[in-house]
Amino acid sequence: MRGWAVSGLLCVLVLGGCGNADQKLTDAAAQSAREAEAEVNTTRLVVEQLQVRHLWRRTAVVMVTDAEKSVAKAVSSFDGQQPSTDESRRMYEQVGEALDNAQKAVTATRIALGNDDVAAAVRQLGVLRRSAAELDRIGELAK
Amino acid sequence: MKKLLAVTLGILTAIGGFVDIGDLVTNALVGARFGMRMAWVVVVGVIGICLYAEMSGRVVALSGRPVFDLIRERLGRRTGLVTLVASFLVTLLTLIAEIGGVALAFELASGVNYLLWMPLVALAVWLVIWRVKFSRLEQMFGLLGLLLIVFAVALFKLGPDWGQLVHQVTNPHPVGPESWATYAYYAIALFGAAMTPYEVFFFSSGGVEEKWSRRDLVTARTNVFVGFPLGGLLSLAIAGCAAVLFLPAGIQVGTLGQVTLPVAVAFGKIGLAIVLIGVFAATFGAALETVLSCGYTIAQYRGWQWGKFVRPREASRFHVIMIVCLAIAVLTLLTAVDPVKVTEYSVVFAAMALPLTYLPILIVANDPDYVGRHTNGRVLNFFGLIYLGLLVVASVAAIPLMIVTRAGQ
Repeated sequence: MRGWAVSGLLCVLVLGGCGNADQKLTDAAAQSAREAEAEVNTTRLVVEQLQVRHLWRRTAVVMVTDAEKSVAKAVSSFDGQQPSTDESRRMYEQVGEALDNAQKAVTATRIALGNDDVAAAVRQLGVLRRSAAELDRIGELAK
Repeated sequence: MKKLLAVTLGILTAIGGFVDIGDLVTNALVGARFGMRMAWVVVVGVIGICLYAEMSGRVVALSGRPVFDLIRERLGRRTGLVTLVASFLVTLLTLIAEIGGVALAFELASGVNYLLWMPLVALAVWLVIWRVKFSRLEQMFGLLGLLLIVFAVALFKLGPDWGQLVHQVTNPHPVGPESWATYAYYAIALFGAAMTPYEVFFFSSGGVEEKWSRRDLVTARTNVFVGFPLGGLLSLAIAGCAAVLFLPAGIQVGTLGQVTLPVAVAFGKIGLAIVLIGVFAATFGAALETVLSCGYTIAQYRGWQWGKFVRPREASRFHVIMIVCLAIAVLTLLTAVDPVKVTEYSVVFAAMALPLTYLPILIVANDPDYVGRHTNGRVLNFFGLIYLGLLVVASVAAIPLMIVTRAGQ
């Protein structure tokens, strides 16, 4: 009887542990996605303001550089996760790709602004919007 | 007429001087994440700082001595030492954040990395303290800090849904992915930002520098009860701008650039220039106040000559403390630690040190040996004790909440 009870408890702990690992990954994905989305939206807002000449270019460069650093932090934070099941591996790859896309979009914007190429930065607006929408969907996962 | 002018100038200085890097960052951060759902914390914090600043102003005006001097005398060296260590460390952390804030404002204006500005900022702080008269530096940066009113004007220009903002104010709870733990953590941070210990020490030591007497009691009270609440409104305007622009866009505030962005959106480059000058004045003014407070607390505890009312040569140890503190601030920031993160931690640690700062003030303000018949009345003591309870709760809960929420993540 006692042996059954211990086995049952172990099963619960193992299954609970698996569930927790998946949940942990979902939470981490949502957290990183929200952080990256915030920075992508900041970059978008900065470029929009630069477009209507509400910002100095050098100030915009500082703001987008800060956003790029924060996206990089969100990406590296999620990269450190350990997917344990097939489903979580798929999710890990999808979220990782979305975060990479976000990072690339922000970096491309920063490079364009650094080269004083506002037109190229404005062309990134569409990419930034799509990236923010994708990250928003991932961010909703934890709800 | 001259008296009225002095009172007006004092009030304007108090408004402009109320906001520092902690208020700027924490209010914008909280506004972006919770909207105006934490407006009540600012109100509670402002009432608290008014209560205790009035007590310390009264103690100074009636005894002619700064609060820290009396704490050591009244409570003994050991208790005084505990208060000294807690207040000094928090003030030093705040100084680091303020110096970083000034450098970040220069970076935003010039595009040159803030690390290069840091030593120059520290040198400028030291030069101003060395050369400029106390009353002049207080007024100059306090009045320039008034430019931050641009946040209030920007809030109107952004055309918010006022009903939505009022709804947020009257529904004080976390929304979306936020939990009660993060809500409580940021409530404590906001409370700590409003009631930073250095404000009281600077206020009381400043009273001695300006030779307050019984006749200045009304001026001191007017500064506190009019200037600080108006400064609190400025804090709410910063949170309001973030709530209107950032909350719907899912933008979280983590940099000083983001704090200033709503004003640029509302008024363009002119607005940006005004807000950057305001941020510079607020953070530079607060850097002066914090470095002076570092000097005041240690010198007053040790019984050394202190203050700007004497020549630097006569208060050499006081000036050495300030130089060492500035050097520590620059060296810390040159490790490339994020000044905004330092600010976020400084307001939480300030909350932890609050009871140690404010309990002695309550005791001294009730001692007829120092304030004669002007001891606290029953009502004031009632509210003082309630606030002391709040301060203890905030102090005890700060670290566990910091661990549970991973510093508000």
